[in-house]
Amino acid sequence: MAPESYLVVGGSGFLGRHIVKQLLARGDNVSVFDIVQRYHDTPFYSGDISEKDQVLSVLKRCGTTCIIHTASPQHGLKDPSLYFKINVDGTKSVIAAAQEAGVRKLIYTSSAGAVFAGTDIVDADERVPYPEKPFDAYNESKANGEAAVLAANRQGGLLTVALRPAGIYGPGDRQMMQGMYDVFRKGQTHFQIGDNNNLFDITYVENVAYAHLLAADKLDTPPPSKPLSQWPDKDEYSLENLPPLTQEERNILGPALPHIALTTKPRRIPTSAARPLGPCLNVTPELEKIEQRFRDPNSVEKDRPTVRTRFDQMSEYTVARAKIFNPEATPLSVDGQAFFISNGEPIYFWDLARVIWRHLDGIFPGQRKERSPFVMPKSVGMLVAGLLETIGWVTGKEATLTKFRVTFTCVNRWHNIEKARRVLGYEPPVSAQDGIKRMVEWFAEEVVAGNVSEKAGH
Amino acid sequence: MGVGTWLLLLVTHPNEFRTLVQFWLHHESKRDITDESEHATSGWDRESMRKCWGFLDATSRSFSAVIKELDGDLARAIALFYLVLRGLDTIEDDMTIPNDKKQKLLRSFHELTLTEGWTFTENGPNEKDRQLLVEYDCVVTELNLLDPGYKKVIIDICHKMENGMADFAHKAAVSKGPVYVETAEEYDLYCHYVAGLVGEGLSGIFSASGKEAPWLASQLELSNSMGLLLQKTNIIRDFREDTDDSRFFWPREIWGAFGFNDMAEMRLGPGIDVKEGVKERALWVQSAMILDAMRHLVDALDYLRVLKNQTVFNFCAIPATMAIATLELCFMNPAMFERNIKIRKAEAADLIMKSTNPREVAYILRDFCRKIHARSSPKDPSFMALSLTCGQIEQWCEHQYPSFIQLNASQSGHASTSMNPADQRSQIVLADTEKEKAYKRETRYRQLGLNPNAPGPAAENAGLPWEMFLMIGAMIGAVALISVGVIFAVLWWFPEGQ
Repeated sequence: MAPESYLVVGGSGFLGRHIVKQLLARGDNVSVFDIVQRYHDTPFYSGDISEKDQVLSVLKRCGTTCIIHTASPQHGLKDPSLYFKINVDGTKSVIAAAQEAGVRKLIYTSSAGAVFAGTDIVDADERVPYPEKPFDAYNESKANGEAAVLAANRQGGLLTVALRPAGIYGPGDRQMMQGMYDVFRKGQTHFQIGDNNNLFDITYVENVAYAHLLAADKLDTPPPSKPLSQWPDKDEYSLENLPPLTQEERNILGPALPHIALTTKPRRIPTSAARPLGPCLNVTPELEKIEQRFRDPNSVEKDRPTVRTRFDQMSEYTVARAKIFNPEATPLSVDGQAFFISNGEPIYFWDLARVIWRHLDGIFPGQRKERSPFVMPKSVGMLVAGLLETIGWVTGKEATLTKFRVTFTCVNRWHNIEKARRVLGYEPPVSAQDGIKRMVEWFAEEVVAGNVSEKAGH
Repeated sequence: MGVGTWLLLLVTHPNEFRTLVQFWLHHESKRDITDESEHATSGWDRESMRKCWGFLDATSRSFSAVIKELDGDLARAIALFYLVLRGLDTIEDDMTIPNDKKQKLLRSFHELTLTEGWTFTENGPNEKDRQLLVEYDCVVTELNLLDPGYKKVIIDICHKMENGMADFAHKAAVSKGPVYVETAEEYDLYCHYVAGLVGEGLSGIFSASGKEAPWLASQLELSNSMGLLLQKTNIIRDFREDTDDSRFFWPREIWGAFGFNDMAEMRLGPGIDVKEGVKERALWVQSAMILDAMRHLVDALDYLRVLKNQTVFNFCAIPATMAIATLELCFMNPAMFERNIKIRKAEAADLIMKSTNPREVAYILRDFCRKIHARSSPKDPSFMALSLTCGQIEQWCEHQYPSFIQLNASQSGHASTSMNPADQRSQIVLADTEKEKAYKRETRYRQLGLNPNAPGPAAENAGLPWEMFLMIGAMIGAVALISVGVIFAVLWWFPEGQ
């Protein structure tokens, strides 16, 4: 097979750049399409993605076989129309151009926010529908763009997949760090709204980039079963008599996956079949084998039980039912599917900030006075925010605490990434903790270099 | 507890008083092993077994109560398993036995324990369980009467444990000065020998009884995790008692990283010259040790989740909830470095009463994790790992027992479920219900020979009226049929002119 030719749309951006770097690192043929050029290690094409002809001509010139579409305006713009222009119209024109140019693969960077409605997202899997009332324009436009990409799967020879990273962070990200740094400098780090029992997903940018490469590699994997509509005995199956899963599907749902605990650096549990020898006196060949097994990272204990509820997306019951409801669907395929991507290590909301501030303490010692936390229940927070908003409305000044922000800080937002792990084979390579360390260290260098605005200082 | 203590409790901790009264009233032993109907499985009719039950009570009263509640002959098998390990432990513990003699005894214990008439009388006078070995022949007799499936597991584990214990005992005997566990790996290994293997053995016995799945016996990692969780909890809690007796189980890899040269340097309290900063560093060590124990919680939940037998479940779940309660008690608690601390009796009673199903146990664990998390300081080097470990328990709970489905028990005793609309997962269930309805409607149409998509432009709205018409038609038909039937019956039974 001819080697893939990649075009990274938005390749100058925060995530796009990491994808380009990883593709280059493995020696792939990469081009970048973006508005501005920031790096000079790949062929670069400047253009507007909402102009289909511009995209088409680049695809033809590059001979692109795989598009990774990461372009999206930053969250938090005043004018929502730009979101729809880029995320919806732009994405549709990329799709149309890809189909016309005969591109085989399209990987779209969606967002976990596509299903966020302002209410709790707890262990949510990909079955959660798009909200009827979207949270904001950004999330709405991401959902619309994603829907267009998934609808284009297997249309005009194109295979598509959408990835939904949750809370991307890492070196190069100014959004999260700037906010944290401002609060740190203002000495307001002791405030806490809510009980801090709500978990929040974050995803280190290199992990997200890695997931994109995986999705690109696996996108043309044949589905693990034919759609039910093509089975000769399809009429025998019903909700009462669910269709059996194929062996390939069983392999995917297969043995239990280890719990993700990159940050805690789990040590292997010693057992009588695999353990170190310790202060052993007479070592026999038999015992040496036991120790070898313990040291060998590939010798895992097989057949750990997988217990699933019927509600579980990855239960045989749910997969088989999905086929009955939609005989055209192949629920465990890569193409035509959306996947949540995260570190798999959700963190309590305020802990993330505290870890970042603690790192900043180490870099900028003595900047912050030690104060015991001031905890405000959510209801009080809402009340205060309402008051501040009213004052802000009267005085014409922006309120420092809004109801939107109170909701945002008290809500659960974490996702189930088992589908990405099982279908794409995604295992986050970098731990949440290492990722934060790298981000803060990068940001501190930026501060020292004078690249960070310090508007909020005393 | 004496009457005075009860009264004092009533005044100072009325809630605890209530819990203990309820425990005493409602949690009476479910099984009487002395009853004649139980003799076949409990062996109470044999003198040797009666003696064994007596030794079990003598060695550990709380533990023996839990063992006796196990179903059928499981209670007897596990009682004997426990006594064998006690016997082994009593030899290992005894510092009056010279090392070469101890090595021989330990490494042949799996044979001695099956040798009819074998007893051991050379324990030092201070060994609290020395009498067990003096009359050990009753254990031997009973072991030889045990079902071969159980016996095989017990001897196999005994063999593995005796060698591990002998290895560590030898290391202690030949080294000068205090003996430390050096690495975290060695710490795990030590806990594997003294507790992980017990877990393996229990799983083996559960499987052999047929009351649990046959594959439970081969779940070595899960079984070890259970054992390690409990053992590490005890090792953490017993810090003061152990260090006072020069027993150092905490690995140097963990406390050495915080600038201590000796485990005893972490001791606090009256009579000890505590230097500046020692308390804080000791607490970080404590936190790192507790985090290390908490790593096993998810595996423990995985293990509990697959158990089927209620008595086995209780037997395993109660120590696990006690362990998390103990870890929570110790966390960021300097008193642990001063003296022995223990969870309160009422809390223990409360946990025993609640540890009845995996859902409840999972949420008990989660709640204790939240309490630990709430006390965790960002200055603690383990802060983030601890936070994410608590997050793992939250994830486990929500995945296995999603909280958006709420069980409501009504006054009339009927249980119903409802969904929390603020949780997006409820949308999945609603969508699924819709799909099921649509599917059933379509199937019904097809069975009636109608095309569900046919009725033209009104098809989408036609679904409901059509269904209604059919229902009404069917009901009218049914009523007509019944009426005809009744008329016919009346005419049949009461013919005209009677």
